[in-house]
Amino acid sequence: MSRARSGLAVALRLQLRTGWKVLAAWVVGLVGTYAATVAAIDTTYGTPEQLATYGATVGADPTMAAINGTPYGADTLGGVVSNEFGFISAIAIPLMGLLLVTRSTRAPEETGMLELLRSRSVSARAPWTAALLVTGGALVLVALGMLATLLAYDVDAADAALYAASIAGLGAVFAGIATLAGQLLRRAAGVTAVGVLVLGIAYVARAAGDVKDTGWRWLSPLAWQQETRPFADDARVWPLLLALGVAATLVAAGLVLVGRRDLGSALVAGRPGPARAGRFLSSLPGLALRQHGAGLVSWTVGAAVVGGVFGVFTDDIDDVVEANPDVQQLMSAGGGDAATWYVAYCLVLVLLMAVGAGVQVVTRVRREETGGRLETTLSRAVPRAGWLGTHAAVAVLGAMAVALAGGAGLGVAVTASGGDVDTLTATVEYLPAVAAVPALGVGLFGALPRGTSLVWAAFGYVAVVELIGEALSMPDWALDLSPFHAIGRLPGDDASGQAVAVVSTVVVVLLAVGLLGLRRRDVPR
Amino acid sequence: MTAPIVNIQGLEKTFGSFRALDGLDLRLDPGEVRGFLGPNGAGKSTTIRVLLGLMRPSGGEVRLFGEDPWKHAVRLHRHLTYVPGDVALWPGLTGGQCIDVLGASGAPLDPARRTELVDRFDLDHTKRVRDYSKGNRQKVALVAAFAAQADLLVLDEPTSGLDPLMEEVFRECVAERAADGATVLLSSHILSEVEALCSTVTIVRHGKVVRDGSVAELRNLARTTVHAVTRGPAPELRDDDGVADLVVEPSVEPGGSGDGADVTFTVEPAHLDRVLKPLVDGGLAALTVRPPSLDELFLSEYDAGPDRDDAADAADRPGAAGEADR
Repeated sequence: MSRARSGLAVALRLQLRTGWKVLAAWVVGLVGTYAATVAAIDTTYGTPEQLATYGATVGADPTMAAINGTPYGADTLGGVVSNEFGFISAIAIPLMGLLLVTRSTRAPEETGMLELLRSRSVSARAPWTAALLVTGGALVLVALGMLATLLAYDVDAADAALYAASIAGLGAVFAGIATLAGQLLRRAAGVTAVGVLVLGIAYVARAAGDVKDTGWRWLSPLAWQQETRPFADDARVWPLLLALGVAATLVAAGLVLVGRRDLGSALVAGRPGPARAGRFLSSLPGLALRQHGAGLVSWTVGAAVVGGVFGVFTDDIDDVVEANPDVQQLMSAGGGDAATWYVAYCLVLVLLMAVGAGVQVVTRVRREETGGRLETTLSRAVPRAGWLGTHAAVAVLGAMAVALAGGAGLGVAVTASGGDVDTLTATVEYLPAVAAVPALGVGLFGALPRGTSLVWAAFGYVAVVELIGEALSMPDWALDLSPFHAIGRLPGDDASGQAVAVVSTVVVVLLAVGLLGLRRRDVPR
Repeated sequence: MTAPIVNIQGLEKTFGSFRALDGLDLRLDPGEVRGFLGPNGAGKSTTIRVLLGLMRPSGGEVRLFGEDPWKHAVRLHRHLTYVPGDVALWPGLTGGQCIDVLGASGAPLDPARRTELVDRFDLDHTKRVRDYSKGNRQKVALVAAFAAQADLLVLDEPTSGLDPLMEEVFRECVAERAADGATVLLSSHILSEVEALCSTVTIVRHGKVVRDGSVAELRNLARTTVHAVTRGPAPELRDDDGVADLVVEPSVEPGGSGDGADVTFTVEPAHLDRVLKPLVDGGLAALTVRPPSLDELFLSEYDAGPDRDDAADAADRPGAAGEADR
């Protein structure tokens, strides 16, 4: 409020006022999922003996090392939980830091809202500082929620505090990346893309480092979180300090740069483009591909790379499993051999990327309406069903293309590393499941446009079921709400033909609901 | 008489409990240039959206080229072009690409006119939309609209954000398209623009038409201001029913007899001859007669009307001000 604080209070209040729902969703969603995981693990591995078994089997399972990270201290409740929760925390926490900073800084700057705010006595840094404080506060709340959960289950307070702090530190690094990238790029989408790219590289580097046990992992902020080893005997604080130091450096660099640049400007300036649109761009599919193409290509390449990198580890997985009879026994209990089990898990990962790509297309379609462009489009001789049909096709077929690229990348790498698992057939059998969540988005857009963003909740649900549904001991019907789970664990199991048929029908119905809904409703709504 | 291009009768549109349109009538005959006026939140944009088939009417009859726009939007849109008040374009495309994309469906673009208009509007059409100011986005939509070979132009506050020079170009373009025989519906807040371009106007308030007619007719409804200086004593005007706002002051006219007067009043145009005679008889030294300005007329229509009480109710309701409610 005072001038001396250069409008920081104004910016803070505004961000809390306009963003509290999003903040609450992140904090409650993450703490809730974490608490559910702790409860489920505590039920399944209730005694020290059971925990020790976990450590000797799952803990030594290289599949886990690749996907969730090296499970340090996996003979304690905290260690087992941080391993089971490892994939979710590795994706969700960085995204939280990245997205929360961007939505209150570059995004309003891009749309011009910051200009109005800055015309009051609010300094250039104030919105960024406020966003960092809000994001930091939300990360601390997540950490406190995790700490409280662990304390409620009698986990050692120091260990639990180190774990919670390392999680907050991981988020801080990506908040820092958003702060620095936010000075260099003009578009919020560009900042997010850079952050996601860094996250992808960090994930692969951490996985490669964990499977091959190399120093590569130290390039990865994810490893800095993991390597505090909070629940192991050799717990240490310095990797956390490394994370916090890097975060502070990134934030400082960003805050210095923001004081030196013009509002709305960036290092990369806009450049002129063609004065005429060709025949293709002027067509419905052409414009739709232009809008979604870059995103879909990035997802396709990303899925192929992730599939490829994880596929290469198949060989190592086999070696380690052969050397460890306990793990071997665990694997065969799940059905099939270790390599197949591992490949099936990796396939789910790339397929979730494909679903995410499709969902992203659908949310962009909704933005055509909220941004006012749909009104302009439909005031021309463009049929509603044709327009939405085109975009829905891009969403569904695009997601399928990402899935096939990821499945193919995985398959090629598995074969190259001496494995014999057919990922491509499995991917094709999963295609209706890949289409399901984007199709739900299309249905919502047509019938309940203001609820379109609920499609992210559906995506989150499917991801939780696929990644930790079994660990959470969810009931079968809840698991089968995920179309992937309903079809079966592929490759390995046989796909349920009945489930494939049901999921396909649901997809068609949802798409029809979307098309008919848009034809019947007001635009804009 | 030819069939109307636009014929709206008793149009109603409700959003939840809010009545945006309450029995609105609007008619455009071929070749007509009609001004569409009203305060913010009066329902102008909603009317246009219903007319374009973007929104479904809650009641009443809407005919565009004699057909139902909700059912036949795509076919009917081939004959019209629309400029929204808040032009939203694709941020990644250039202005030139947007013009072509907009022209690719709907009324066909005349390539020669396109080139000419880009030049006249001084538009840098190689710039990306996200780098444009509001005025430049508006220009993109205007070039696309005026280059289209459309029978009907629907313009919703099309000059917001334009500089006076471009505003002039806009007026020329509307006049040219009107001369070609196109029908124009021009929603605007700039009264001089409406006065210069439109032959007829419709004024709406709270979803209803409060005035409808030719600009000349409306002008006749408004009062003419008369300012006169007489050499002799001021004539007795009070008795005359047509006179109002009368102010009489002693004249300071040099060379006057000393009992002259300085008289200002307003009068209905129909009574003008009756009041001028006594003034002339009183020894007229100076006379100014100012015709009613449309501004005065519109402001009085915006401000007060037959349904003043309803107006107060509507203003209390939430959402009453949300015309462009997205």
